[in-house]
Amino acid sequence: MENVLEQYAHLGILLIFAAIFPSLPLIASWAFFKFGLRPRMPNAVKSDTYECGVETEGPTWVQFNFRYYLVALIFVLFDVEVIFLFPLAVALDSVVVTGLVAALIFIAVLFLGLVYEWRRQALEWR
Amino acid sequence: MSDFGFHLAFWSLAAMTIGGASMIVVSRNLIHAVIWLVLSMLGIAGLYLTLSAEFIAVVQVLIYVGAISVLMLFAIMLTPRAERDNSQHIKTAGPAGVVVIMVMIATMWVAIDTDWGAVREAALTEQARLIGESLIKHYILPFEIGAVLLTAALVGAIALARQDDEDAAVHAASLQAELDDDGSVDPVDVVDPPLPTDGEAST
Amino acid sequence: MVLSEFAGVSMPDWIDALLRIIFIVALMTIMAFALIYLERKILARFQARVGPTRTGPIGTLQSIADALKLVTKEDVRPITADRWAFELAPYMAFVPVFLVFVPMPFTETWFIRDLNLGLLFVFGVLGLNIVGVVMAAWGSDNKYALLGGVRAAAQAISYEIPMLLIIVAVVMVAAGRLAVDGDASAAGSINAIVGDQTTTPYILLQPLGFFIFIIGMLAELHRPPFDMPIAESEVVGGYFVEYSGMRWGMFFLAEYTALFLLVVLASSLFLGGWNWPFGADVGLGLQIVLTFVKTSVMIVLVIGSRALFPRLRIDQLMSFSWKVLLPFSIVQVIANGIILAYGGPDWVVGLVSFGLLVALGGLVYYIMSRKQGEGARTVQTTPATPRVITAPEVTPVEAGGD
Repeated sequence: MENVLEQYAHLGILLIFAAIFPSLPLIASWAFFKFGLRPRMPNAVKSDTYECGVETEGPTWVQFNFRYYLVALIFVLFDVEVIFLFPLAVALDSVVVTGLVAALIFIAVLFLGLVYEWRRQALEWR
Repeated sequence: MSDFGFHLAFWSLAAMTIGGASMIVVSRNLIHAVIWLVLSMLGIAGLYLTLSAEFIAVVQVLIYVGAISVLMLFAIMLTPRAERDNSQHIKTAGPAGVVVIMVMIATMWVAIDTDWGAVREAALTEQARLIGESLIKHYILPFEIGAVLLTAALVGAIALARQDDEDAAVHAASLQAELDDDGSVDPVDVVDPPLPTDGEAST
Repeated sequence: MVLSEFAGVSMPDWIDALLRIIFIVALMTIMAFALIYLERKILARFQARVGPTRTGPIGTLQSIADALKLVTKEDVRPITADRWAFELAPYMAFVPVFLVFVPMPFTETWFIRDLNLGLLFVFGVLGLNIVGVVMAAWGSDNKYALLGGVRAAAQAISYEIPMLLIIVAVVMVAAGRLAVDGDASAAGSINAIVGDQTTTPYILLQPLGFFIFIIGMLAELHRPPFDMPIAESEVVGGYFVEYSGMRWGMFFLAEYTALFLLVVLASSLFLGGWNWPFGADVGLGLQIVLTFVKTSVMIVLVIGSRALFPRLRIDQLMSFSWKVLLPFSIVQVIANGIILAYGGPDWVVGLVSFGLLVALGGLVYYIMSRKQGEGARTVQTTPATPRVITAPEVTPVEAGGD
């Protein structure tokens, strides 16, 4: 029986590769610049914020729609639901009917939340 | 796994966690702070792996790194511009600091008191299954209470959102009334109806 | 063991690990290049064009030419951009996608590592990609980028929930079947799920699951009809609008890698991965061919969807996920639970799922036909009412963005 950390040692090695792999073209790009093959001529217009030719006005960071926060919050809650259901799903053959009833109550309570949310029109995107 | 591998993993992950955590405090920009928080949470997920807690580690990544951090990013985008700097002096910093230190002492007490060696040796390849079984056999009530808690959070979020909406509606109605009283201003001429964008503060 | 199977030699673990990783990296690079070429060719055929023809025989070297162009292109960074967020965002978007390859089975024995919780791992790590997208969006200091990035994040999280619930449903089926003839505790591992599909691919047991998974996959990849966040005509490319050169290329690479990855995952979960359909035992060589045949068919479908479907609006996107897919996936999980807890046979599971799929199709058809009728009537009869905007509520995006 192997250690869990050992299982994920491959992940650590892959992480190093994952950091190096996209860096290679960036390094190549930099080398091309050093050998004069890649241009770098910044000017005021080029380094300006792109906005289809017009100058950008006001701060970029505007206040966003509250809906986004609500969606993220509902996402977190259902994510947690999935996390609770996953172990039950894996242990399906040993928890059987007790597990089924418990899971059904669990889902029903959350589904009630979803119905409430629906009725209060929190799912409408306006 | 050799001892060297374990120590390498532990110390690099610990450095990542603590480094990320201190950068959260130091960085003045809130978005940067969230990105450091992501790094710190990933370090914690790695530390769970060194404790053979595979399921908890994956959940840490799925919930905290994947979901909570996005929630935080959206939350910061909702705050007014002036509050996006992390550098304001807060009057309650003293009491908050005391609470944090007390929690930290309690956590360290538990951490030192626990026999971690036993945990590290345990090779639990069927963790999800064991967690599922113990949820049903021993923790069925907390499990259901969890559902109620999640639903309560959902309802609370909607209550907040609806209040926001109703405030905006009241505001819009009063403004509309002002414009109607004036008579000379046709509402249509005030602002050209722009295309609906996500940037609308409220609708 | 990758090499030791052929050569019959034993080698240290770390060399084995390295070989597997090099295999995956090489495969991924080749696939990314092939996909770029394929997308251009297939899309061209859909639009009655021939696509690239000049670079190499029938344009096969087009991807390499593209890559060379990107590497030698000027790397522009706006002065107002946040330097660190801007430059690290491509890594944050690419590295998670790369890491998700760990538990992907290409044959019975070819994967980097078979993880016990491979399925959860895939979705957890893939979710990190969203942080990279928001980093890019915010770091660019561009309104279009910010809008696109926030939309992309909202869309990705919305479609992740139905997908995760479908994963739970699939794990339930796998656990039920593995308990009979295997180790049920392995039901979270992708390779164990593939191994269980020697006789019955799960698409027959979970047709609704397959459908929802494909839809979620298209949404996670920002593929049409779910390409609102990166739509050129709405937000001029979305979160990578300010990127150029190789950093832009990294987003592109991440996208194609994620496409390949999710297609492999879908074929592993529903189409039987490396199995020959319906029970024949095949060798390593044929297994890898089967994986590639299955993934290629799905890749062509995904690329074709770009030519076939019109774009959805952001409100339609959100409603479809939360109001249609989420209830249906919850019902699928409940149905699986009831049938499997009482030891129902496989064909009941399949039939119920198929019935749900038909219901879903009928519902979508009903909603769409009703919406179209309403739209037509509105245009004909009601005069356009002027929309009143409350003046103080106008934000800079409205004032300057349009």
